[in-house]
Amino acid sequence: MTAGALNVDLEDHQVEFARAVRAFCADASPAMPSSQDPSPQAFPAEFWRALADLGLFAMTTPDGGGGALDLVAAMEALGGSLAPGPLPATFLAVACLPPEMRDAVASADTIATAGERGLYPWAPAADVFIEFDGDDAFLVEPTHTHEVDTIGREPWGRLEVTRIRELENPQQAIAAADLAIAAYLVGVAVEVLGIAAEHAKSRSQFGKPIGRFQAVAHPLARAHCAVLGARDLTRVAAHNTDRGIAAAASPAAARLAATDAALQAAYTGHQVMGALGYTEEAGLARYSRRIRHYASLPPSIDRAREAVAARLAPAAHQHEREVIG
Amino acid sequence: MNPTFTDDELAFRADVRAFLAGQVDRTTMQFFRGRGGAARELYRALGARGWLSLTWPVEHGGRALSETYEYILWDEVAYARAARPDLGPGIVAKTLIAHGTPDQQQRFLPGIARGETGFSLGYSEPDAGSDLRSVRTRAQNAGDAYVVNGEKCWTSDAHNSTYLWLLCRTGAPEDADNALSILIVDLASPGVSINPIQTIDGHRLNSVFLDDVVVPAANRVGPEGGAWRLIREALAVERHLQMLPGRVRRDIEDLAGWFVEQGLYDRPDVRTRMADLAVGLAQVEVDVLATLAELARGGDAVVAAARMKLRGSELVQSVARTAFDLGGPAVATTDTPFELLWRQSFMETIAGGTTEILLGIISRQALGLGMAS
Repeated sequence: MTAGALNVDLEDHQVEFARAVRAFCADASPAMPSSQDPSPQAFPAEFWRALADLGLFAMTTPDGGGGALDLVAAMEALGGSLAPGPLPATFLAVACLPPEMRDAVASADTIATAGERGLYPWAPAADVFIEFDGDDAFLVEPTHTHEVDTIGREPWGRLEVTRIRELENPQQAIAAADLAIAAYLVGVAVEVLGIAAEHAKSRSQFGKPIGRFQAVAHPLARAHCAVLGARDLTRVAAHNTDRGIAAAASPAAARLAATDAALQAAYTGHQVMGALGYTEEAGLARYSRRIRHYASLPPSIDRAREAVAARLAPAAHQHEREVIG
Repeated sequence: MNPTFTDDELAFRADVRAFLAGQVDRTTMQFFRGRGGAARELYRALGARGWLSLTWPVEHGGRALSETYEYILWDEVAYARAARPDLGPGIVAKTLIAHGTPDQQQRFLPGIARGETGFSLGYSEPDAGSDLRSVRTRAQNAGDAYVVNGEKCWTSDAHNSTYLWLLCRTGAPEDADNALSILIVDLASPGVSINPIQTIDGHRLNSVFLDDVVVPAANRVGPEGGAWRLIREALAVERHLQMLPGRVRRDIEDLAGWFVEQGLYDRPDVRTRMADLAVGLAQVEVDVLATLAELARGGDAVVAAARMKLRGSELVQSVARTAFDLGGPAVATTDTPFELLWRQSFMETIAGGTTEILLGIISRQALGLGMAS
């Protein structure tokens, strides 16, 4: 392939980095607590520090040498590993905090959370609090914290806060969060499809593998299309973000697509796995819970939907068609 | 990652747009009205610019450009709702270039390149739709000619075409793999009758009856019994045109524009549904990049193209459904294009590979779920 040829793949160094992240997580990532455990996941301090040492959180800083596509490559790997921690909030914080605070978050000296309407993921472990209100972002301080468990077993905080100052670049921060959430969801969903397809090949009923029944195979094929489409869209949206290109393939569109696709994969995976998928033992539930959880993360997905809808309206009257690619 | 067209490709796109702006009344819906009339006029104009043979080898009068150029051409034509891709320059010409005799290449390629010679595809039969290997139309070898008897159906544009690209049986019924051949049938031959089948979008398909039609052996393409390979290859040369995002974008922009005109675009339910459509569109537009990228590096793009067609064809149905769900009684009138889109878009998930066939391909090739009985 020549350097100029059309392609929608990650660069080799991004594939390598994602592989390294995946390998690291396989050894170090704390497992999600089982559904029988009464307490949510404890903040994985050592794991978090090690991710920072890999350069993960600093790569999108001005001196970090990476961009949105590097972020996406890493988040796909982290999602596939069900890595815990305030990952989207960290990339969001790095995009909008003033330099000194940003560098502390990037090196894991401080832990950032981003929330809205009083709900903040990982708030019990956080030092830096960012509140979204409409299109604005604020640095805030909690005056009261109440811990609450979540479907993804991550501890959130229900907070009362006071505002300290308004933050710059809220749109870039939202874009980073949208891409991070989209890529993580893609990563989890790819795993779900792999688990479900493997089951469909090995589980036999009526004398043949259930994957030979169209009623089983076709929903899996649909989910596969949705997930791989969302993966490519997220990667292209990251590329566009890195180059300052405003296009239909935007971080907001990527988040919407990846959220839908991952939820579709979760429902399909559970249906294909039958009663086994309902059990703690099979492991599928950890993936589907994390998908449902990430699909609900703040800043709310409603903002992404509105951004996409608003963008379409002016395009409608022009018939001066925007260029793909 | 390089999801961008080259400067030359973008310049070509600009040329195509400029050309279409001068040719096409934007209110025309010829895209939905077959390949005769204004569409054939357009093909001739495209042919005059050498745009119907962009990817053909230079020795056959082409420019040896990549599939991306063909995609850009037909995608813009679709966005303008001006026509669907002509069948001759794609499936027919590319098969003739690869497998035709020099005589066939000389007789057929120049007319195709000029946009003058129309071909229709004679594949489906009353008892052979998705399962093409079971076609029954029979061609009896009579030395220097075949005598053909049978019935083809759903034949788009037979009434607008000079020739039929006929899939027929030259061998034993039980021989699925080596019994089928391709013949080029002059539709003006004695024994050919073309009967319209009215469709719900006000257009027509055709039944083509072949009654002792004599076809010169010189019109057989490839070896006798060798059609299956040709058909598979012919599908491959059209993958980048299987679903044109320009058509999807135009449908969605027309609907968004209509909602804005009607003062409905600020409604939360409208915004939510339009956002869903816009995300689907962004996906189709990325799907086509993935397909073109795979073709560019020599892959077959079977799964990527299936993904694109699956999504795009269901999306155009969603556009019409959204118009009816949210637009009130006005959408039922012929003052908007959406009632036509509603009627027409049923065909999109059938023609060119049904949704079920595509899902089977994806199940087997992407997920490894063996479907063989």
